[in-house]
Amino acid sequence: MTSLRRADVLWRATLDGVLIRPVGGPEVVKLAGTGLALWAALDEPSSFESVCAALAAIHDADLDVIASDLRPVIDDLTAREVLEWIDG
Amino acid sequence: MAEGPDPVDRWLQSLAAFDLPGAQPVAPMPGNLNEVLSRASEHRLIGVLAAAVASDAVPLDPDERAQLTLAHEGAMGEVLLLEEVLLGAVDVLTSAGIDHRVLKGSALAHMVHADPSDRCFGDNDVLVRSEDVDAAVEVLLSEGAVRPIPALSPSFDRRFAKSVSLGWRGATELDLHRTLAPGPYGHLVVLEDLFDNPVELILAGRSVLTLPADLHLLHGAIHVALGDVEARLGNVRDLALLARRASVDAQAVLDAADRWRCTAPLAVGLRTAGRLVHVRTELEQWADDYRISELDSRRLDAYRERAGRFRRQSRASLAVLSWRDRLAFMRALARPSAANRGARGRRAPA
Repeated sequence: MTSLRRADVLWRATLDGVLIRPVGGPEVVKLAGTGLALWAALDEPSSFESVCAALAAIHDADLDVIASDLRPVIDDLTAREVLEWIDG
Repeated sequence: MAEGPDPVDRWLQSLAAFDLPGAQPVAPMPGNLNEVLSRASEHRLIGVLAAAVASDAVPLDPDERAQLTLAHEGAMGEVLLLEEVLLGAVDVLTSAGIDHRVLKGSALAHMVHADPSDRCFGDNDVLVRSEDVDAAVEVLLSEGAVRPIPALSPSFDRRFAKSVSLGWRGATELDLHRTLAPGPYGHLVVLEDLFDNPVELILAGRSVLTLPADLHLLHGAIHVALGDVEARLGNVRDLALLARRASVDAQAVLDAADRWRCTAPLAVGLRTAGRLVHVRTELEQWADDYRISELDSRRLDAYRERAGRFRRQSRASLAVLSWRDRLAFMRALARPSAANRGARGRRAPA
């Protein structure tokens, strides 16, 4: 499975991350701190593993730590209809 | 445009030129941040300030940066809401078969700025053809829009109004434009030109039509010259960016301005934009050399000074309207509809 940003979201970068507004959704989603790097990594369809690897390289961090930090964020973004998952 | 001895105004001009080709580095920030944020917000420059801080062109300490971050997030939250409701208006107009173009804020944020996060805006502007204005208002009202001030007369909106202001979803303002300026120059715009060669923007995966860059530039100059008495620096920056855009065809801009008899406001707007940066573009050099005629000078007078502006613009409009239109225009102004009078708290004329 690969994840990608849903097409029907509006977003803006801020000094501290990114604000995302799913069209028709109830609220704005804020990704703070390293969220902008995550958002950039999700610009193209990506597997969870490849997103983790990209962020681990950017932040020079341990892959397992990144993966355990990222999993709940990705699940939350999916639940808020910011991300979608496709076969492939 | 902000000028004069006020150090914050002078500094905001320096900020408005941030990252433009040939611009000086942004000067050291004067005064306290609260005042700067308040004035930058009035000029729609919070996004530019955030961009300048992000690239270390404007140094802030961590507390100040946190304060700016909050202000920028607030502004971006507003533009995201506005873009969402803009898509709703576009859907309504498209479903009704009403051709339209998105003007200014969102269109310029995505077309002209290096990052749309640099551009703040406070309302939505959508252009429709004169003959579609009434139908567009009606269909938007049927979808929940609110019109605080009813039309001056049954035909006023489609014949004479610059725009109709509507309250739209989420307490936002939607200006439904017939033309690009109030007063005489608004009547002179060749409206059919505005629907030629549309440019497609993709917003949240949806197609939205806007003007080509040449006409955005002409509109931007008209807006800077004739809009507010003191132009917002965010609008001046839009114009400076457009004048420096490689895809803009300077001759096409001048030809359109000539056809619209709007070369004087084009020159006034471009002179204002040219003051941001010492290195002039071809169009800004043209503006510096342009001589404003006595006729245009009189017309431009109608846009100076806040007091009595509507009356002066209305009087100046008479000179550019046909005899038949003059009568209808004067009748509407002299005897506005009861609904219009009621909304403005006015009595019927004796």
